[in-house]
Amino acid sequence: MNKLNASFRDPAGFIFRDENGTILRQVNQAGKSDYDTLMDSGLYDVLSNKDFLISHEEVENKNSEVYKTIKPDLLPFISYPYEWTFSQLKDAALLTLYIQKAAIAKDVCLKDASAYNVQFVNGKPVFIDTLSFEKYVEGEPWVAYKQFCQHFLAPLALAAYKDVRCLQLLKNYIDGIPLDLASSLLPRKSKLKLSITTHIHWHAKSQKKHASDTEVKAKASKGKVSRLAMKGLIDNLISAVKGLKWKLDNTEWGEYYTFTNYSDTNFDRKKELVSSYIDKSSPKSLWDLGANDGTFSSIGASKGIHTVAFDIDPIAVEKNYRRVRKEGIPMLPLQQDLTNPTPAIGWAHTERDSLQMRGKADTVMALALIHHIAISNNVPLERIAEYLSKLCNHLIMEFVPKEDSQVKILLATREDIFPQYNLDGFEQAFSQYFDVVEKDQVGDSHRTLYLLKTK
Amino acid sequence: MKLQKALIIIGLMVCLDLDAAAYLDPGTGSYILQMLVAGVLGGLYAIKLYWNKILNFFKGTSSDDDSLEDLGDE
Repeated sequence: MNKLNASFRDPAGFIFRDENGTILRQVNQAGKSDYDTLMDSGLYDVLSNKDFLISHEEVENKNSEVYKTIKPDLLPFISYPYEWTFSQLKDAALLTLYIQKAAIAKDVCLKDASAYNVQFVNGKPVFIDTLSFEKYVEGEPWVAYKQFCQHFLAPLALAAYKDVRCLQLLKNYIDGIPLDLASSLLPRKSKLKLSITTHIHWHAKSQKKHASDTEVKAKASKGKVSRLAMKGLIDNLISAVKGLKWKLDNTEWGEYYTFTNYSDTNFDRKKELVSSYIDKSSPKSLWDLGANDGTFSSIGASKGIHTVAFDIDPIAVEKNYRRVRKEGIPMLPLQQDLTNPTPAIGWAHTERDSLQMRGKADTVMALALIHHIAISNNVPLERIAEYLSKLCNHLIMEFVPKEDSQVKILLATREDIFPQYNLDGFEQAFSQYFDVVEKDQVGDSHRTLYLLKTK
Repeated sequence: MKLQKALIIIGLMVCLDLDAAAYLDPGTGSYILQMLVAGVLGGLYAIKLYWNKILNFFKGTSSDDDSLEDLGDE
């Protein structure tokens, strides 16, 4: 049994991979009552019918000391909150609250509210932790209130009031952004919003005031949270999350591809070539690195191939996510800085995987990307080839030469210290790690497209 | 009366056995704030529900407060 490290904190059970590679979840005897509460209350049916909660089937127990073994639906790709754009985190927050609301109605309660419990499938958030539920005892406060505020409300408020790049703080704070930090970073005008004042500013003050207070039971027994109060709290959190918006003006939302230097004919030719290269490599999983707003990723997704569309620009990712959510296509837009890819984080670097650990993808696309890495970031071509070979079996790569206007812009303000950056240098560097399967010039442009196979 | 009070306190202590199965630390300050504000938010929620009922009465529609909402475009 290969126990996966993402789920070791909860004694109710854990995720593991069996000898056939199937992902299963073990329900320990300690998790019996929680699991039965979810299943017997009817909540599981309500939530899974609406695709709010991942469906599972019970499978044969190989160990009699285990209460149950369940097989959840397979997720095509695991992503993390620090890779999500604003609307993805917001949708995940609303999903969590809607589930808690539906749970209370059935005398069940969410025992945690971690953003890592949510994944995205076909543009929709899905709650994946079947063991996050317990029996609701009227009068008890919501045990996951603090976690919800740290994982969702604080980063969303910082993104909405301050800067969307604040979402990246989640990479450093694995259990959500500390509320005192959020409170100190948020601008004064956030205090005009009662829900933000309550759940972040007052919340942080209350935490500070009672920081050394170990008598939680004694304090808690002085009051209780009635069912109506619990519903009011959840309803208020829903309004708070809904009220947070990432405002962008029209120029920022402008058409990205109006800035390309391709003529319409060449652009169409590039699409044709990419489509035929995808067919030739026949992938089950496709990653598009530097996907922009997902124009070329859509070619893969439209063929039914699960496509992860990575881009460094949060606006491009946001735009792509809104489209994917609307169309419900098998694509997952994520934010990713390839010059500093997602690291492995958490206890012993094993709780959340790095980008590379979540590969290999069958096929990776890197279109109009190489000049940004090689010239803007000074990464030698050999190193680019080496890293990409670790991420995929097939690579669809576009070489953008110095004659290209985009590269000319990059070189306009700096010394050209890249004598190897030409078609020969590119082929030499990549031939150490890849074999060329196909090679085509894109129409009458200066650019060349390659289909490469990892050696 | 004294016995009744004592029973209520014992009852509360049983209900609030926070160690029961919770693996998450709820945080003392977070718990206290929640108890302080949830009552008020519950009151506001009750007003909102009645208001919606009045609106629904005039509109001739009905709504279920516990029904699952839809996620979607704004």
